[in-house]
Amino acid sequence: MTATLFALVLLADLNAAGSIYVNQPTLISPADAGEERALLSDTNYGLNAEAAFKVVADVDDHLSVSAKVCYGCHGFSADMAYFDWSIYDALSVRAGRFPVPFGEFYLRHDPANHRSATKPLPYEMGRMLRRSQYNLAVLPEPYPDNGVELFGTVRGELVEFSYSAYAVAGLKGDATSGDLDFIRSRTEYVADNNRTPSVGGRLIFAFPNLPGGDWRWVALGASAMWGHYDDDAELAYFLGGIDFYTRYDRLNLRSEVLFRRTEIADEPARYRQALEDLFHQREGFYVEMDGPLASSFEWLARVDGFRRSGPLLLGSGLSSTDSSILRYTAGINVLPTSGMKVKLEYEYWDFSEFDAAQIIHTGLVGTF
Amino acid sequence: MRVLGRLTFWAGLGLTGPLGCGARPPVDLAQYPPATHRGYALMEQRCTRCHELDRPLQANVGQGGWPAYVRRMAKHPAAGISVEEQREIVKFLEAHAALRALPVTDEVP
Repeated sequence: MTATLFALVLLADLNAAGSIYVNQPTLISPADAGEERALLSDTNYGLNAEAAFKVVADVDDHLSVSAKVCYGCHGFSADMAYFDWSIYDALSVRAGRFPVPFGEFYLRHDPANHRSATKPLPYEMGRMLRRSQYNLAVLPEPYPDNGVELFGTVRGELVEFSYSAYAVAGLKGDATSGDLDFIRSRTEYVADNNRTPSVGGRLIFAFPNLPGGDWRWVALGASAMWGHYDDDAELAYFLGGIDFYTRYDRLNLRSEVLFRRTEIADEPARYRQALEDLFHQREGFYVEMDGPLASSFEWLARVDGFRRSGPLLLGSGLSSTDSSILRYTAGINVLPTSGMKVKLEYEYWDFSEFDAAQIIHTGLVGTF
Repeated sequence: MRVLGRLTFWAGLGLTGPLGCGARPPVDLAQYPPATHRGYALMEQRCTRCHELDRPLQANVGQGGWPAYVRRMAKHPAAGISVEEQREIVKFLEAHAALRALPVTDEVP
């Protein structure tokens, strides 16, 4: 498949784009060295960088090929390697390795595209505080996977309807760990660990031409995904979410609510508590506003949260079966020249079972 | 030493702050044919939902490649870019690409 994709890319006009992001996290709440390590984890401990390079070839009016390589916490990885066959606006086929269309944020996961220095908490990856203790949040982005997707858009006078339905290899995990393993999901990228694809879909109603005034548009979306994560395909996970976007003049308001229910094996000896329900649940949300501030500045404010409920493994770093985080974020971005942005962001993390923490992120992103 | 390193990083980035005051040149629509202005306004409305305008303005797309580029973007779910709006945006981007291709000169006409 890769050879075919590269052959198509070489035959067509190329369009290259990319971004580089450098981030310096600075913990400003008092913590001793051990506590600092637990809060920040390896991926967030000091200066960190990520980069992405994307090449797209429009082979003809109906066929395009995209390939994207990312460099980050996991080294180099293929974020995209797919072709799009557009039959009509209302029906396209995508096949290969592509970003799984769950929620609204997946389209903006590149640091050059989202305004904040960090991702919304339900989607955060390496910059989540106490990442290891919680095993991340709901669905760390980016989440690329191998599979096939049908998608399209139907446009009316006032409303635009978009849909997506897909089958992908799915997230992976080990039955003994009782949760998804995101490193395994990312590194075992050729073959599925079980023989059952995960399936999902997304529906969006958008009103991009609201009549009159500065109220520009509204979009409402819903996403769902289901599959098995263990090698024997006996333990299932289900992800569901709704999202909302609206724009008033140049002010953006985005919000999402999502959850994941993950089944666990009936092995009481592995858990601290008696197993009443054979699953644990993760819920997350974010509300984010951003807008321009003079010609070369922009601002953002965000409130997001995450909650994990369910039995704990014997070695878990958590102590409560119902643990949550609330985060408050304020940021200012400086846009000194075309294609460059400096991100300055303050975050206040309020943990239900740990002391609160404050952190400042200073980031520099360049695009080409 | 660690604190010093962080402060240096901050100071370096802090220097870019003053550069932000009016340093970012907006697109000067006066240089573009009036027929393309609506396309720019549409880009400001539609494209900035997901990314900065820099992305399409910086893109190096071959001659005749803009319709496919914009059509591909419009296929993103809820992009809100109708077929007619795609044509307007293409008109602007083709004009922008033509302006970028002109040799840079300091001469005042």
